[in-house]
Order: sequence, then C-alpha cells, then structure tokens
Amino acid sequence: MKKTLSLTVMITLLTSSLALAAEGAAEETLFAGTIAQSIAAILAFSILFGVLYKKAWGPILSGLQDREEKIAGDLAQAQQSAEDAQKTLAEYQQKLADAQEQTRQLIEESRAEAERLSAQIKDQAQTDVGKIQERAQRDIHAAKEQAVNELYSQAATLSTDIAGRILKRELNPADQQTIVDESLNELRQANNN
Amino acid sequence: MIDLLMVLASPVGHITDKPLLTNADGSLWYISNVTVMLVVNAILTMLLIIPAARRIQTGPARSLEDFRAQGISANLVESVCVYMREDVFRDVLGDQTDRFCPILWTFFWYILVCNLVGLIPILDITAMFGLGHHGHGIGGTATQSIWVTGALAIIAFLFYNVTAFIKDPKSYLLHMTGGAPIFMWPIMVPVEIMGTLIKPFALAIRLFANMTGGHLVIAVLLSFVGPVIHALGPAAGGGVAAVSILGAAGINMLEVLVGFIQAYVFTFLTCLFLGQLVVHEHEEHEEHDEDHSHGSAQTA
Repeated sequence: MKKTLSLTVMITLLTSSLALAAEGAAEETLFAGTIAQSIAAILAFSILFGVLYKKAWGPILSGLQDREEKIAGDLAQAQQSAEDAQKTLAEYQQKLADAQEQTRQLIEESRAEAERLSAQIKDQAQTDVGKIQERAQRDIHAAKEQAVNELYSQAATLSTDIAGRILKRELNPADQQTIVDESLNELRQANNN
Repeated sequence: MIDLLMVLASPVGHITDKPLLTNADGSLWYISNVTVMLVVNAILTMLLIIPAARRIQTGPARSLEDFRAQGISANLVESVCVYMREDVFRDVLGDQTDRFCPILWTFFWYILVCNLVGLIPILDITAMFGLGHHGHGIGGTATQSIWVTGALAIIAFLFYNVTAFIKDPKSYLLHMTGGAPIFMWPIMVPVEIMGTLIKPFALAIRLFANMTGGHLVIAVLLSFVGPVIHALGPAAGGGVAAVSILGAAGINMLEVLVGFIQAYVFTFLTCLFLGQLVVHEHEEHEEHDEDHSHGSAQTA
C-alpha cells in the first residue's frame, strides 16, 4: 500500500515535472524498453531453466528425496528397534520375575528344610541329652551305691577292728564277714526306712 | 521551482532502462541495460545454484555426512528450496509437487537474484567510468522493466495453462465454466477467460510496480543531495542531504525485504494458478480417501 502510494505520488510529480522540465527529459518513461527486452527475458529464463534443470534441480530433488527416504527408513528402523527392545525388555523382565519366583521358592524350601533339620537336630539333641542324663544318673546312682557299699565295708571293717581291739580278741575272717554282712543289712534297712 | 522540478524529473531517467545497441531509428533496443542485467543475473543464479546443488546431492558413500548439505551456500539454497517445496508448493500441488518444483524454483531464484542485484548501484559505479548510454552507466534492476516482468508473466501463464491442458483437456475446458450450470455458461465462460487473461497482467504489474516504487523513492531521495547543497549551502543543504541519504538507506533496506517478498509472491501465485488447474477436487478427495483408508489400515 505504501509502495503503491509512493509510486502514485512519484508518478504524479514526475508527470508534472516532465511537462515543465527540459526537452530531453520528456522522453523518459517508466515503461522504457522494447519487445527485444521481453525476448531477452524469455531466452534468459529458458536457458537458465534448462541449465538448472539439468545441472541443479535434479541433484537437489534427488538429494532431498534420498534424505526423506533415509529419514523415513531410519525412523522405521528406530521404531522397529524400539519395539524389539521393548519385547526383549518384557522377556527379560519375565525371566527376572521367574528367577525371583524360583529364588523365593528356593529360599522357602531351604528355610523349611533348615527348620525341619533344626527341629530334628533339636529333638535328637534332647533325646541324646535325656539318654546322657539317664546314663549319668544311673552311673551316679551306681557310683553312689558302690561308694556307700565301700563305705559300709570299710566302716564295718574298721568297726570290727575297733570292736576286736575292744574285745581283745581276734575275729576270724568268717566271723568278721558275718558281722559285716549283718551290719550291712541293718544299715540298708535303716537306709531304706 | 524549475530547478526542483528538474531534480524530480531526473530520478525516472535514472532508474529506467537505457539502450546500448539499437536499430537505425532506435525503435528496437537490441541490447539495453536490462538485457545485460538479465544475462548477468542468469549467470549469477547459475553460479549460486549449481555448486550448491552438488553439495546438496547425496554423496556416493551414502554415509550420514553424505545426506547433509555441505557449506554455507548449499545450506542457504537448500533451506529456501525446502521451505518453498514443503510449505508453499506441497500445500497447493500435493503429490505433484516434485514434478513442478524445478520451474517454480527457477522463477523464485531468478527473480530474487534480479531484485537483489538491482539494489547494488552498479549503474552509478559504471556511470562514474563513463560507460553505457551517454555515460549513463550499465546496470539496474531487470525486474523493474515491465517488458521483463511481462515476459516472465507470459512464461508463467503459458506454463500453467499448457501444463493443465495437456494433462487433462476436458477438465481444463470444464474449468472455464467455473463449475456453473449450463445456462450460466454464457456468463461464466467469458468471466473465466477474462480471469485467466488478467492473471498474468496481475503478476507482471505487481512485480514491476513494487520494484519500481522503492527504487524511485530511493532515486528521488538521493537526487536531492547535490542540488540541495548547491542551493542552500553546505550547512543547511548538508543537513537536508544527510536526512535524504539516511532515508534512502532505510528504503534500500526495505527494498531487500521487498525483493524477497516479490520473488515469493510471484512464485506462490504461479504455483496457486497452476494448482487451480492441475489439482482437481476429485483427485484431492481420492488422495484424502487413500490417506484415510491407509490410516484406518494402520490403525487396524
């Protein structure tokens, strides 16, 4: 709009000025030229188009098309790769989940086995302890009896010796044994009572 | 007053085409500034695009680096070409985009180079050396000539009409009825024919007027400098001249933008006119249906 206005103003001024200006300037017009310039333009454009068509536009178009195909191919490949990766990831995740499940089962089984073994060992230990305790008690009891017997025996012997000395006479072994046995029996009875 | 009018009269002469070689009576300019610039700009366009194309093309090893444009100019050309192809042409032409990219790219780059090279004051530099028509210099903006923009518009007009007619003559002729019922054809057909013929005029005038307008403003601003200093003295005249130069510099920057925009607009409109003729509604529906069924299949 600005250009058109400027052009209109200029043309008006110039038209007025041309009428008043020097004689030589009267021939000057914005439409200067002849048909030769049009022919030159057509020839120049045609030759330019022909040369560029052969030397430039073909390579440029093929370059752009190659690039489009390359980008489209790379995009498709990238999409395929992404899908493959997703699939592989899903497979690995499934495998990982399976492995975790197997591990969990193994741990559960191990724990159960350990608990079972622990209980078994505990039972066995308790049984063994019981047996040992029983044997120990039996041994203690036997040792006690033996000790008591020996004590009785020694006490009897000693008593006999003492009694013999008191009585100033010697006891033969048979009397002595008789006395010992009697004393032991009395002692046992007294102990049992 | 007359001095001022002389100053204002000279800018038109400064920016318009000048003959360098004519026939005997001067009615036909065999070679002119515009002709020279057309050739120079075509060569510059080739020098910009062809080496870049080699660096954009996929390398033989087809490694990752071979798929990448190498160098600044190649990246510049590629970014513009890709933008035009994907964001401008494809929206209009659909799957026929690559078929028409070459000529549309050529329109864009040639007009762009013509517009931008026209901003370089080659004309003034060569004038300093006394070259050109009566020492007027050689150079200028090729797209500032209505003869050139008209020729480019005619090429575009022939391109999209011939392409559409060859592709599907029946559809092309039916297009001239505007899709109206038969009893409306006596009105619609002339209207459509007029519309078809007006389109190249619109292309030509738009490019010519936009390129001329800015250049004329710059020329007017710069043409003030000498006479104003001469008339008002170095102090007052210098101040006015400085404002003129700054204004001209600003407009020149704006012209860079206009150069890009006008190249884009010419190419975009050519693409749009082509799309109206070669991309038919039923094809779009078919494409849409195909996309839809393809999408459904993928979903399934």
